[in-house]
Amino acid sequence: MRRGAIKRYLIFTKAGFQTLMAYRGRIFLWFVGALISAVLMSLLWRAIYSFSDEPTIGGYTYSQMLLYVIVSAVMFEVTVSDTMGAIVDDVRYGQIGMRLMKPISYRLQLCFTNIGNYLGRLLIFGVPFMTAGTLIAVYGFGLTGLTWYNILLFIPASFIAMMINEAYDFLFGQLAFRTHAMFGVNSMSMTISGFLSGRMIPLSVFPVWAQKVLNCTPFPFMMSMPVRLYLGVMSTNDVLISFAVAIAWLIAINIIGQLCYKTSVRKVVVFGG
Amino acid sequence: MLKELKLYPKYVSMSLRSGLSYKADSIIMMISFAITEVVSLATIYLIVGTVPAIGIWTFPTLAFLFGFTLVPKAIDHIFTDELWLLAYWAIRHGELDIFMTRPLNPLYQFVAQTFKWDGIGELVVGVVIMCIFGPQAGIAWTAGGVIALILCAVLGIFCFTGIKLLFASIAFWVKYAGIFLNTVYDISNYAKYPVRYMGKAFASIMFFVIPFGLFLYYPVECLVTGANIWWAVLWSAVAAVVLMTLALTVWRLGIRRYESAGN
Amino acid sequence: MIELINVEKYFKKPIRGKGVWGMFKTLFSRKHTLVKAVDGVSFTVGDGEAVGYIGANGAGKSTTIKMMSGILTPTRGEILIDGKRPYKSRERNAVLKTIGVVFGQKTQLWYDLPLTETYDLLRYIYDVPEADYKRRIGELTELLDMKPFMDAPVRTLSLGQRMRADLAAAMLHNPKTLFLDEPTIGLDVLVKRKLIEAINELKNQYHTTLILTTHAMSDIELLCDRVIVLDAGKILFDGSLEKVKHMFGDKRNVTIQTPAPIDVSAVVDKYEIENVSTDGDGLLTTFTIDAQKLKIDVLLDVLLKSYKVVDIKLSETGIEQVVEKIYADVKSDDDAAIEAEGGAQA
Repeated sequence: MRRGAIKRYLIFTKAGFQTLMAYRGRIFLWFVGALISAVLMSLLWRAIYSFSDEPTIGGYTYSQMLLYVIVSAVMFEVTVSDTMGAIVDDVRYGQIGMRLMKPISYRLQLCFTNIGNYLGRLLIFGVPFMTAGTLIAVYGFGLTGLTWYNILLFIPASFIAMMINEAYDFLFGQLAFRTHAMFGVNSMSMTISGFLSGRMIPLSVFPVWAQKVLNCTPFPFMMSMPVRLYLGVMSTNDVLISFAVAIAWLIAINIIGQLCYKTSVRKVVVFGG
Repeated sequence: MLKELKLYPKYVSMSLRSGLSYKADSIIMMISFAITEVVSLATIYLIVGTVPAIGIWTFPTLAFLFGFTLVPKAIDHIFTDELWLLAYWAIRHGELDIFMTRPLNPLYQFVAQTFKWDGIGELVVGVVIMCIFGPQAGIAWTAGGVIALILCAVLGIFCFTGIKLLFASIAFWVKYAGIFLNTVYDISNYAKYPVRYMGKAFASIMFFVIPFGLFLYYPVECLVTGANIWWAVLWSAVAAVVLMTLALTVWRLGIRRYESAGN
Repeated sequence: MIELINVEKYFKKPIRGKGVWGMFKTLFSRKHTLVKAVDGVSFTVGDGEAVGYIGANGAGKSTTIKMMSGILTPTRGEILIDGKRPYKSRERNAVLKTIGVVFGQKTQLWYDLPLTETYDLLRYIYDVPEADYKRRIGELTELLDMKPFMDAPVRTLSLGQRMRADLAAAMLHNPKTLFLDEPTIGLDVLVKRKLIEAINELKNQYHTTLILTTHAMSDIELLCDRVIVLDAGKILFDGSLEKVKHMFGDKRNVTIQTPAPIDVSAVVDKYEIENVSTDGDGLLTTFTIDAQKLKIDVLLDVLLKSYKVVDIKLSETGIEQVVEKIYADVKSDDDAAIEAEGGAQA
């Protein structure tokens, strides 16, 4: 891509950031809702730890589990993608035909808009909420093992997670060309990715066979891997391999998405948008 | 009230027939709700699997509790799904106007227009799970216990509806009522866990403030511990009456200050 | 009979803070600005009257209609429709049975079902006896020419068809009063004309009291015998259509597009032209005339002969122009009155 072209798409990133700013009140409330949910989940874990004979569950101490729950809740709100919603709206309001005719890539437009959205969510809400959660876990619950470089590495890891999540969203979002039941599709795809990526519960409490299967899918890189990185429970080797595999998955899902997209677009052309 | 009851079948039939053109969509919705619930059950299985039991709660007992919580939730979902629209959209965008010019309760007209049959997916999942795990849950089943549990489920429907209407009605005052409703509604998901072991503060909230614990968790707890479940029926009834009264009062206060849109 | 006695409707708009913290403060702060949408309006409409209720955007006309039709509760004052208040829960059902409402921007028809389904539902809601219902549906179908689309789902109807269908829905229970809030908005000229004619026939056939808001002066001319002009929530004028016509005349706008800006003085000097305005870098010139004083064909003839005309457009006078004129007249009358009073005192 030429530099001019990148510049053209960065306009969408800026627009994504600005849209986010316009809706910051509402998004703030979603973050608060996610945090309340995380607090309730941590209460549940506390009950479970109190009945456990072991000091750790799935390899996590209680203070680690507490931070896992908080970081995954905040990260979910940070990396959530608007791509599916955008496609659904474009189809519903008949804008899709016009969008496809423009001399810019619809795919890249969605992607770059979402990057702006992610940056806004991370900077305005993610950082303060994560900082607060981390301080509570460290000073209130005696959490150890966090390092500054792991925390810094979390940023690129969450960026890749967001990009995978967005590509996954683009893949499922194309169903908007075929069905009106996108609310159902959305909730289904969120439930599946939420469960398999370790958002609801850490993957280490899954049976070993399931963990092996999941490690061959992109799901852990959407949530589990960045959160574990943040908690400092991954070896350096693991971190390096994970980054490489995550990027490979990002490319792979985008290729699949692009192939599906070609048939989807044909459908739009046939029906005239 | 009589007119509303007499008209309801008409509304249901209209809603069903207008949904016919979107039949495939409804089926997708149904499957998606069912999958969501199965995943929730798997989550419970994995969490409980990390310890032998959480006090009195083993996996079959929790699964039975989970199935029970789905029943009132699903039935409320089938009848009053439109309340979500009220919270997120309708009040702020003046969509009640048309209903308010007709000589019939506007809330009834608004809610009755959608009969969400795809909620049956959740209901079936709930009942099936109860049937599978009921015998393994370590409950001494009696006819009285079954009747009481059914009563609790029925009262639970009204509790759900009351909570939804209450938080949807704050849209008359508050801009983001939908998100508040969403947050509160999500708390109901935690009533399928051992509420009593999750801290005194949380248990008190779940019993006395947002009483999901009272009408979802408590009846099953009574069955499991062998306590008198009729107390749960009584408390569910109290919760239903209080919540519905509160919700309808807030709705009435709100409708008086309804601003329509774009005066 | 409809009576409005000193009706006021105020809306409180919270003063919103900026940023997340500001939003937080808004939640708990009681600071707000007061918008006086309707500010002390009184009038009486007798049975069978047809009233045009007009004003610029935001003048408060929709708010008034919404108070009369049970949607909004007045902040102060009373609205009595045959002695009953539509915003009181005990009285509302009795009032609502005697009125019909049509909103140009909203429909009460069931989106995915044929018209007949909505009508059938309305029959039960309004307790219309079956014989009456059948007769009325027949009459309305005929009058509004709805047969071709009676069984099509509402979502497939054109805007004009939908408005006619909505009109029929509002007339099913034979209401004594019909409120029409911008029924012609978005319709093209022919469809609009047809709709207005249909409303006129309905009015004559059923002797329905009519209260209408609109942006097109022609709607008022065809339908109403009385006009109430609202400005900033207050009544500016209340009188017969004849009087408005007398004050305002029969105004027409002719806009011509020319390749270069033109000198209009020759035409303006020779003919009776009320106003000339230019737009689009001087290439668009609008002549406003009183059709009683200068025939429109004469003006067109003159313009085509005098200038090189690329394009031409005739437009009706909008309500805004009427309101502006009435506003100016009323104000100058007031000033004159004040001056006279001052003179007398001196």
